[in-house]
Amino acid sequence: MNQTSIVMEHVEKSYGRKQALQDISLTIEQGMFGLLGRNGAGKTTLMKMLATLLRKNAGQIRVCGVPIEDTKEIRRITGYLPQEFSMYPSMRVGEAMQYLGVLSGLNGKERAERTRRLLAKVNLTEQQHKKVRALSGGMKRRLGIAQALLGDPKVLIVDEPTAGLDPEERIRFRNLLCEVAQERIVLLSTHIVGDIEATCENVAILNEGRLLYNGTVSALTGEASGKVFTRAVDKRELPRLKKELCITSMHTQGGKTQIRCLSEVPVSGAQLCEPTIEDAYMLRLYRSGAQVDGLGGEQ
Amino acid sequence: MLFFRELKKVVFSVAFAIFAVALVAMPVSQDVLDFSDRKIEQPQPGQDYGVQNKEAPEVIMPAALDTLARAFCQNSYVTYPIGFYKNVKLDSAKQREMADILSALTGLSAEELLALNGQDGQGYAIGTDDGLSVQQDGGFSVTMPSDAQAGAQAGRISLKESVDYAFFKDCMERADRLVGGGSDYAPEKLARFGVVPLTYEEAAAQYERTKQTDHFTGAYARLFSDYLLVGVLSVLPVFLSVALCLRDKRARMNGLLYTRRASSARLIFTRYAAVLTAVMLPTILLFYLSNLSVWGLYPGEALDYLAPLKYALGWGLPSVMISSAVGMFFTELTDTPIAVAIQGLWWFVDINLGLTEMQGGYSLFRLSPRHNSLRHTQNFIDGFGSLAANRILFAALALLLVAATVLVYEQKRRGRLDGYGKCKRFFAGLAHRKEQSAA
Amino acid sequence: MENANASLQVWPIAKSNLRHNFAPHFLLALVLLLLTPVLFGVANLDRTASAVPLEVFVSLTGIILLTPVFQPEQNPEIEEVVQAQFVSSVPVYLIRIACSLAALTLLIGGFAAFMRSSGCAVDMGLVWGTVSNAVFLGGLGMAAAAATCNTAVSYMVPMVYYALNFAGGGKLGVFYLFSMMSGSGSAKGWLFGVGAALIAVSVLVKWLARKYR
Repeated sequence: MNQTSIVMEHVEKSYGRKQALQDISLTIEQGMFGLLGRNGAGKTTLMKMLATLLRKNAGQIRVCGVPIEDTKEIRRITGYLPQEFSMYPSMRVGEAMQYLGVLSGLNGKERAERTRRLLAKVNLTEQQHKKVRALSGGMKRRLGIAQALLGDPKVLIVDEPTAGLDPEERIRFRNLLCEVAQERIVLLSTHIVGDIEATCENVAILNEGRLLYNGTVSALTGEASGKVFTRAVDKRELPRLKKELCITSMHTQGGKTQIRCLSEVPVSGAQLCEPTIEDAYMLRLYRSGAQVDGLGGEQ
Repeated sequence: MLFFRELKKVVFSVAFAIFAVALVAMPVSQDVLDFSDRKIEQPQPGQDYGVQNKEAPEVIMPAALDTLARAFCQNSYVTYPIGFYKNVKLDSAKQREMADILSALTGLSAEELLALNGQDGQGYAIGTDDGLSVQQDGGFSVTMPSDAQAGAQAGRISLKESVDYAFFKDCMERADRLVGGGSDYAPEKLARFGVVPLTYEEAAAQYERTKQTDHFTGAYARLFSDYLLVGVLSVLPVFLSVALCLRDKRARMNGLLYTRRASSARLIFTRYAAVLTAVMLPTILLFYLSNLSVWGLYPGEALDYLAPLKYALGWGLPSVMISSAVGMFFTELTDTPIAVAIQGLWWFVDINLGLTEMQGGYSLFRLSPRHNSLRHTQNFIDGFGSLAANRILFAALALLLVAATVLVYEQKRRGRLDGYGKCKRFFAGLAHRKEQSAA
Repeated sequence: MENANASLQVWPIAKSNLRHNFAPHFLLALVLLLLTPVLFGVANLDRTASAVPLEVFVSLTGIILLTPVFQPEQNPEIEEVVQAQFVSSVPVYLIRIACSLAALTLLIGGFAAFMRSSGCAVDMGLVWGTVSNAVFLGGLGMAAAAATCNTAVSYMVPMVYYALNFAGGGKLGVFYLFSMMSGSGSAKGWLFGVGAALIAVSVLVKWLARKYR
């Protein structure tokens, strides 16, 4: 059991005075695991820590039974795709894979074989003679996944992989991750709720360095059931309602605005509706006392 | 405001800290931050006023011939092509040509002269223990051997009676070309052989020039400029602008900056102004610090209290401008620190070439004009036109480069130009050409 | 896993780095050497005169070849990708340093041989002195790069030191770069030793910075 999961206990990390992670205890099992949170919530810090790029200040982390302090072994069993993937500008796609393969400790035969297989898997075979810097954002991200898989890792860590991708690329990328996750742990961080909904079974929510939620996606959605309402309101009412309710979205049609809001108690004149994971996420943030009225902007 | 933000970025950088240290260390190490012990004294009759180089044929001709003949016999000619000592050895064909030149000047046949070749200590009075001695300053002095034979030989190499100065100069120029240039036989340097003592009248006139034209303080500010340009201002500002431009790249700011509304021209020129300001403010301060040390030395004289400012801006600023502009242009063009190599090399070659005109070198393309003396105000007056042209040229060139930087930046903003790719392609093309030419 | 005991593959790492990270700097060093005979006399010089081009100009190859050892990872995105790999960065740095030192020795040795063939009194002492200068200047650059992670500063530090020597570095004692051309030059061991130590320290700084963050 421990051999196939990441176990974190009371993990702390601070940069000088700023506490980036506080008392994080989390267990991540095989499959896709989503890490949700706003920008600056501590997601990247957590992921870099798991990729051994940052040191924790306190607590314990074991990855597939290996303590995080054993960086050499950890790096052998993890693959990491940072938020922005880049490679030496003069390298071509194939060369970059080969070089990173060398750095992953693969011998020549393995390197060639895996490079070929992985580039095919991420659909970059045709681009292998292109310069890395000439790739589009989506292609670059796919190359990033391919390089992270070079060492055939037990754990794949991907930080905000879909940010900045167009919808088509984003869907393709999600599917790729799901495919990969069948035989390993894939830890995915994002601030785009839709990514989690489409791919993950388990999710954790981070806010200001603290763990707000850890559990299944369906349980999270369930929490919000009976607390999501829609209502058509007059435009003039909006400023007042914005103060009273946690509004997650607004659609303006003519003089009326259709709002979607979260509330622990029924809202007069509003209609109850089926919660999405986004609602549930917002509710969690709302309950934690986070300033959320900036989030549910006009869409 | 954009300007103050950029200025803050420059000033609070490691590069600026190192620049500031160098800016102070250089004048301190050269002893020009405190001039209080270097008063320019009014000459009094009956003193020794030192020597000067003068185009005096009667002195130059025997001295130059003497040196050349000695070099010929040893086949070892001293030149300074970029300021560095170069010892030239001629092959037999060229040595023969040299013999012809000497022959035309002395009346001896080339064969006779060639026979003296390599006869250190036996032929012409060279290298004999009693004849040649090396002086402390590296020069040679020759005392002719007193015995009859050597005397006769010494007499053998001397000027023909009929040689006039124009012809002599001509021959020397040929000799200079023969050894590859950069020798003291070159026409513009021939006067170095004409060492004559300064007379009281000349010394007094020199003093008067310094008093009237420089009002004393100018002379000190000029010497300070000389050192500061050579050591700091002609080269170090390049690092500041390279650091500033590369900083954006490292901080991944390009994407953000490119989309901002501020026009490329405004951004680049503001940035440039920030670098210039950051360099010039402490520079002007140092100019004044150094100059202040002499304000008490000349009671009753009319001093020019603006001299430090004039020299800092007029003499110093154009070099700062060009070196910062080179930094900005090449960094934006290539996204590499290649500007450091370019400016570094230019500076290196320039200061070495400048070594040959220490007493006032104002050639048009001199990056660091020289005037390594508190005296010789006359040279400054004579060369002023050339100096002004030089400084204006560099300032204009700098502004042109900054304008070119704006163009490059604008193209990058529109996604048309990608520094690294461009320079990569250039080198790839170069390599390709090399391969072709090798084939 | 099958590659648990995978050994460090020195040659593939070196090859890739030579091609992608080393070549432009090497070319620049080569250009510098090709310029030397244009700027200086390199024929028929006695030992002291031969020291001039070597100490004053050829030494600069050290700045060109050693200073950029950490430069490829200046881009933080690339740094993250590379540092998350199984092979740590230290052996990669060491391989790069070895390549740079080999290239330095080769270039300086080659140039010295060229001077010798042109009738200069160049001996192994001069070669050693020049390599020492280069290692010291390069070491300064590497240390500055490791300490500040700033490309411009990493070149600035050795250049300022060089300029200081130029302006008359008599006070620098055993660290005077131009000692051979002024006739002495026995102190080159200090330059080499401290230069090598600076290189070692800068790798150590990189390693520690990586370890404790």
